[in-house]
Amino acid sequence: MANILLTQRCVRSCPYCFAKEHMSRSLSDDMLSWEDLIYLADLLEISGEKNVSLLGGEPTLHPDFVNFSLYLLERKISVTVFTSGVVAESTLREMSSAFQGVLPDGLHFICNLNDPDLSSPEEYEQIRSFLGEFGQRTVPSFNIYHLDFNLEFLFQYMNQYGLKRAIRFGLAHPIPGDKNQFVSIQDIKRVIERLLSYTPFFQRYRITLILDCGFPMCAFSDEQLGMLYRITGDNFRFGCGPAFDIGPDMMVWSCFPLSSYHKKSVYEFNSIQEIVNFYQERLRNIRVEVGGIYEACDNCQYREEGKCAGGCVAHLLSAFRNEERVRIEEIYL
Amino acid sequence: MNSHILVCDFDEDLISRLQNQNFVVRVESLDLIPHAIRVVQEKNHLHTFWLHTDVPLSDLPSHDLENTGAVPYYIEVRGLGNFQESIGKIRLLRSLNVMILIPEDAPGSYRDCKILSSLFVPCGIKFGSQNPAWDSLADLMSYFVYSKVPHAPIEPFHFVISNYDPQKRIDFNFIYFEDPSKFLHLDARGWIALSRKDLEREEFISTDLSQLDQIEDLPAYGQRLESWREFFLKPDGCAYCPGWRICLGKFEEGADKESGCKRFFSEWMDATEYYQVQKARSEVAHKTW
Repeated sequence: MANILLTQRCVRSCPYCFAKEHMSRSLSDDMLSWEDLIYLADLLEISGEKNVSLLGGEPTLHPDFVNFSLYLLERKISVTVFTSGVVAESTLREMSSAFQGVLPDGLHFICNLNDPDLSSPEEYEQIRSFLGEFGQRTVPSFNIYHLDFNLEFLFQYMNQYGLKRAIRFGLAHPIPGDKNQFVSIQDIKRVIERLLSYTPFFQRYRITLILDCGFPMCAFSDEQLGMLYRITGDNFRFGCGPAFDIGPDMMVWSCFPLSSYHKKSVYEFNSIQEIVNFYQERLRNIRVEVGGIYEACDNCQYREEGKCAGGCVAHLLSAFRNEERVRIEEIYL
Repeated sequence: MNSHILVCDFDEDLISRLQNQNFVVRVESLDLIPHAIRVVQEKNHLHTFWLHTDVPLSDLPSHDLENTGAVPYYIEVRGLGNFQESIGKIRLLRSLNVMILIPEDAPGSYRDCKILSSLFVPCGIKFGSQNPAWDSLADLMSYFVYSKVPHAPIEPFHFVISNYDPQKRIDFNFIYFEDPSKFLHLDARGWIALSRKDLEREEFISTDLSQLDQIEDLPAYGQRLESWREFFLKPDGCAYCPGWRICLGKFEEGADKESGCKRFFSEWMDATEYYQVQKARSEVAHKTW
């Protein structure tokens, strides 16, 4: 799935933000142009892709956000918008009017929700207004960056605003060469314990879990995997990629934690598949050096069988930066 | 018998004076069209309706567009305007026999053409000044010729690359009904001009509508059709430019020709030849199979 960044600007400053290193290196007023959007829509079409995600920063800050969404929908490309829900009142009005007739399958939102304590009262009100308007099209998303996280507010939102019965969980990963709050390798098991302590809620509200990349399979006990199966069915994975991000400057990279790793111009590729193949190959090179985030990953049967990617490579790249440069040069690019 | 297509503003009296002629009828408002169709088709034939407006597409009334039917249309608008208002009309336009013409000096004209083409609405850029935004124009032309994704024609690029013959002269003014070998322009009195510009300047080739059938016999007509030859008499003039075969000296008065029109028309020429080669290969492949 291609992620297109409409803008680098954001309205929040989350402590775990894995995009901030990339954002700090980019021009904050960079906005995707119409011409580039058309180019990307053509690239998707030629690659047979029918879905795209619009990201930021905060994508709704782009002055043509609504127009871009309508344009992509008109080209039969389904749109998923990753938003903070902090949407200006005028934009929300515009969205309500323009998206009224759009079929539910065509347009979704993934709303990254932080604990309300992290939001200012104004932001909190804006999020509530957004969910009030688009709750039924919205999957809530929650990024875990410390151990004592609390999910109860999400259940409350789900009931109050009729959100989709699924929650996307992301693990905050380190940014190689920068500082952000993230879950250390040692803490991943404790995070999973904490997450699955909410199982009674997941079951009561019939909520499925969408695990974002970077969860290693062996961090779950067999009992936890069974519980996950009961909640979510077999619709979960412990992979890495093949999503990639395209910036408003038409540069492409594997994902935010790896935004400085083998960054390329999108014009160097003729199809989405070429981009996916390129980054899969780069990630494979890293995993040839080190299997995954645990030592046991090197000889792990499940990793060899493709059932688990061995955790997020951002952990590995971070570790490489702190050791002698003894690995193949490409790893450090 | 006159073989030209006649171009005029909608004028019931003028059109009724003629019989068995082909007309391009220029109107300023969509709601005039149903009546105009009846008037033209009573004794003559309709080639195209040409709606000329100073508003963007978003400001055209949807209801009037719905009533336009299968008649061929040119709709000249100043860009798309409000995209959210335009999108419903774009869906409607796809079901009509229409081309959207956008003057090059309209805000976002090149971008809007690309949007329309990518959404399968035939469209075109209408030249105005001697110094259009050559880079944007080249970008639009490249998009039309080289994009691998199916899209609607963009004029005048489509006309030239589809009809180009290295052995013959091609004039893309045909798209704008400005080629005097094919079109004649009439004013309300029935006076005849060889182009819209001539008409506006009141430079008529004849002030007698009954001369329509003999227009080709007038010396001024022949001189105009052969006027391109004069470029060969000027040393280092347009005729010596690699893009001459497409341009035909239309931008002779433009500034900075080297980086402007010369570069653009040379690229267009290359694109046209590229298209010809592709077309020839495709024909050979079809014959093989």
